[in-house]
Amino acid sequence: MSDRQLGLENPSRRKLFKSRTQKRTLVRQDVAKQGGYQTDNLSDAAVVPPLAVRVLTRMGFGLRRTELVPQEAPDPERIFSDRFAFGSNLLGRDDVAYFQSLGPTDDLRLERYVDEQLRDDLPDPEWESRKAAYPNSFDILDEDLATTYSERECAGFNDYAEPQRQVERAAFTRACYGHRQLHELMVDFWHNHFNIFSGGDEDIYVSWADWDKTIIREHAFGNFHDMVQASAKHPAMLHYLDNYANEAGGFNENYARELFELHTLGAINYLGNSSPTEVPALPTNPYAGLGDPLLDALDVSDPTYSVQSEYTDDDVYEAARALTGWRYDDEDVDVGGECVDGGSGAFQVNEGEHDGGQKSILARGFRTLPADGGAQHDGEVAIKLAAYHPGTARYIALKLCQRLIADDPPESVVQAATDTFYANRTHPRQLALTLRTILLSDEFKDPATWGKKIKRPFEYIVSAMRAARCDYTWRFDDSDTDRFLREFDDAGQRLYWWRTPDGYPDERAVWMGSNTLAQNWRIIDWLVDENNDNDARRVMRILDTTLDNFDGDPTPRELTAFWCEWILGFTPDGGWVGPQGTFWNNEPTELGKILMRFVTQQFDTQDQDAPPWPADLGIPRNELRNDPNPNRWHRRLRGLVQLILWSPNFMQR
Amino acid sequence: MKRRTLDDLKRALSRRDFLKLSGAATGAATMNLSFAPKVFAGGAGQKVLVYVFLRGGIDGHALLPPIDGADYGHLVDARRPGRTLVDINDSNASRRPAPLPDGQGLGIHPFCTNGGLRSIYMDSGMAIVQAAGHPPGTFTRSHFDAQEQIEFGQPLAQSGPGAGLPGNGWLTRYLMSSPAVPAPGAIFTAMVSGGSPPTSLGGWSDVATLDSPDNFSPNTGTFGSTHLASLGSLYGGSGELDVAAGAALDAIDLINSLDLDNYTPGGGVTYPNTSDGRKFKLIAQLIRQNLGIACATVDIGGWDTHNDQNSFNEFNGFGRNLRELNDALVAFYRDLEGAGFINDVGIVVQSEFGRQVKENASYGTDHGLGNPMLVLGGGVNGRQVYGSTLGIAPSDRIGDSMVPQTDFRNVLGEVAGGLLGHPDVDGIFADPDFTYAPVGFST
Repeated sequence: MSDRQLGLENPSRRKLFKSRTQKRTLVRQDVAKQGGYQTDNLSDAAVVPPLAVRVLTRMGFGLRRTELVPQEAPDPERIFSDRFAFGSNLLGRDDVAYFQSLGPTDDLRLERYVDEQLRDDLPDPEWESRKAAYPNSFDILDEDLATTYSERECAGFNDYAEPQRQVERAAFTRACYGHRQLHELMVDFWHNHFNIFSGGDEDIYVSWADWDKTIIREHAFGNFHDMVQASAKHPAMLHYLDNYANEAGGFNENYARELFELHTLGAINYLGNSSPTEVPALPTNPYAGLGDPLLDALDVSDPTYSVQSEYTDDDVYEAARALTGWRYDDEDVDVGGECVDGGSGAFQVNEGEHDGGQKSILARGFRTLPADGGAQHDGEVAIKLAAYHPGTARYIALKLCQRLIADDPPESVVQAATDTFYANRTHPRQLALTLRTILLSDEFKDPATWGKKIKRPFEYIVSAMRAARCDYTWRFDDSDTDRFLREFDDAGQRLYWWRTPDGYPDERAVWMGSNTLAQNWRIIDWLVDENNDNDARRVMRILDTTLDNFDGDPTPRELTAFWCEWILGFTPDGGWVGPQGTFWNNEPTELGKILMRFVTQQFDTQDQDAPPWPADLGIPRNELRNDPNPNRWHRRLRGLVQLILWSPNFMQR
Repeated sequence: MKRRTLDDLKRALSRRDFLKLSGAATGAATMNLSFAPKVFAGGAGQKVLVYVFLRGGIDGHALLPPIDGADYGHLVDARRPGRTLVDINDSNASRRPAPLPDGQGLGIHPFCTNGGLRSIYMDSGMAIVQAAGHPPGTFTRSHFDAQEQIEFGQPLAQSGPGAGLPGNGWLTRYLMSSPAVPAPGAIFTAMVSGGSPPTSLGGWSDVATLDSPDNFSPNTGTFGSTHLASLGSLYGGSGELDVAAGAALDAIDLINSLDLDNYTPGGGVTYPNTSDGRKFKLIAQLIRQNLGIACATVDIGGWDTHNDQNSFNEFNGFGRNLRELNDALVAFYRDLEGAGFINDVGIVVQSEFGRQVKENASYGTDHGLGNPMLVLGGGVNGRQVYGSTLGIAPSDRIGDSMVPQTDFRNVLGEVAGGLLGHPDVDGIFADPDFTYAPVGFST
């Protein structure tokens, strides 16, 4: 009942929400002038979640809930190969319960989860069924490049852009509903690593589905060298970085530079000011013992062959020369003045435009490639020299650790990942093995490394939809998808739309600007609100979930505890909110405090000093659905869910 | 997005606090809120550094081509007419650069004439420093290295993830050591006109990052203001994310209180309805609100013209980029000039490096080294090209590139110190091997 009877202060709405604007402005300016933050945590209010939640958040797009499954004691007799039969019941329904069911200890659970996520044959029933439900939105995804390219490349904009748009809608759908969460996260990673601005040219638009499928998805758990070679021959990359126009007599360095600086060795291995002869040599030849036939034939794998530890501008220029003459079939076929076939997009070479002179790449001035090796041969060798270099192992390992652990990952796990990557340079599952090293490391498991990154908009929005029981497939001819993509664009991470080859940044500072945060919040606000009244067209099923999980009239305390557990995946010891009778200001967590204050706030808008709704009084169910005045419970419920999704607890990873 | 009703606005607690914070006497209840009358009319007002970064490496030889002397001949030898060559004797008159008095033999691209940047130069509002860039021993042709090094103000900083970076941008250090920052009652001391904060402001938490900002009021209707207030409470601590979220909420409140759509620029100008135009207009609008902004940044991309440079194309490539930049920057300058702010503003425009003298086989240019930097403002001793150059004779180039002769830090430092009065420029760059030496464009 009313707090007045207990003699506790009963704050009015005005007092409850006294503005702290002035304080936060001054705190911010103080922090700026002093150049540092008081705490190591990104947010004072956030609580470190258990391993299950940390794993699900970092290894994919967060936990998915469609129901709360009672926690089972794991059966020690259950063998791993039973996983799919049992797991398909829980994975995607209650990811936390699923993870907990994988074994008796956290270490075992993590290992089984990682190994399962790394499997190429993990079933993905939800994606498959949604894809089948909307064939017009996803049919190009399975088409071969030659068919798509010839039919659409010289057609109108809506025709040649469609492959890219299908991939965009599929990416959201797969991230939201796919069971292969780690694979989807890695697909996003590699799209950024080999970044291409997909909106620049019809050749790129039209070949985008093939780029996504045969380059990125195909290799995300596979062999890195193979991925680089394949990417270099794809029309999208050939066009984007100008290699299709790279010709002898005045080479175009754009692709070769980014090959070294972004795709393989990285700027950390760049000695821009030096001549190759000045660069220190590696102690041993990294190409020896690889068994690569092209390198062996050139004596590049000879143990006495001297290899630079880092690359210089000259290496870029020599590689550019080696890559001259690389082209793709873009030949239009005209009938009666109209184009009926845009070409096949297939890789081909033009020997006449290839610079056939000898070249020296990473060889401290000594010859690497003799004259007249041929365009394809020379370019492939240049790529091999970059991809198999130990500097590349370091750079890729660093980026992966940065994606999965923290912006500044511990050196020990970076070194371990480097070693695995380097030792498996010719292994068909090199990247899967490297990921396994990172994900089973002590550093990954250590709670101290948690929460030093924040979710970028793609992860943030998708994880919110997964957590809040979304049931929506992104597709064509649907105004929600169109609206969603427009809003998402404003958050600054429109898919495949970053213009420069370095891809979307992965440091948290970039994504903590006021524009990004405000737009993230705005999108959640729209999503939670969208189609709320019409049961058949809901985007997020907040009301259903609430009414399904309470038989009677839930109290504000019960609602708050329920939704915190549902979205955040756990309840800390002591609870998010206190036991019955706890005053809002005494709730055990900051989050609980703020939520209780919001949900129970006074309901009489005419009287600023009216008392709040009692925390332990049931809310009539029909009022949650129908939202009548004066209490507007439906709105409060939505507001409650939004606040949890807006909270630092949900933002961190 | 739903707009707030007037009633909601009146109950917006933060708005009242903004009025208190800015010390404004007005308590205007209308949407067209003016925070304060221009308190520092014409006199010693809030100094503002505007940092314009042209990402990708603008072709300085097309923007400011040599028009006489030996260098003119070298340029003509190295480039094709109509492609990357900007030739004072071009058979097509519309492609000829305009001469610059006291220009050390340089002219300016035709798209900057006719009331464009050249007119600001002629009014002494713009100075040009030629052949600026990294100091010897630090040359790099990596976009990402060069940009980061310039933005950190440390030419030898090593780039890439986890590479042990200095941690804060040169503008951050500029603001940290400015005695006038924060001004009493300041709401934001820095703003970014774009989607994300740049490296030059890395480590400075008091930034409003704004990109075509819209009003924001949650869909919870009656509960909207308490909803936003609760959001603020979620981030009430002093951790990095707490502070960032606080900035976002202040930015939201700020935009909700302003009527950005009803804006009358000074000087009778009209901003072009382009991306550049919108970015610069937003900066001008906020500078004129006297919020305490001491620094504004804007990034403009698309200058990495390796392929088909299109130096004269109004719709594509270099030509279009330059047209857009020129029109937007001129509108910005004339707006602030007309409204009486330009004497307190220092604008500096640069890229991470220039481009090679010789055109490549795909009618474009590859990464170079030395490049011009533009400086604009009321206090600039303009109508002059500063700085020396070795010229562009083939034997004077390094890797086919013009060699920088002026350390970029001297240009940035003179904007900070000479134009805007910062007391310790050497402290900003904190390099024992570097001693600030002004170029001479500040009166």
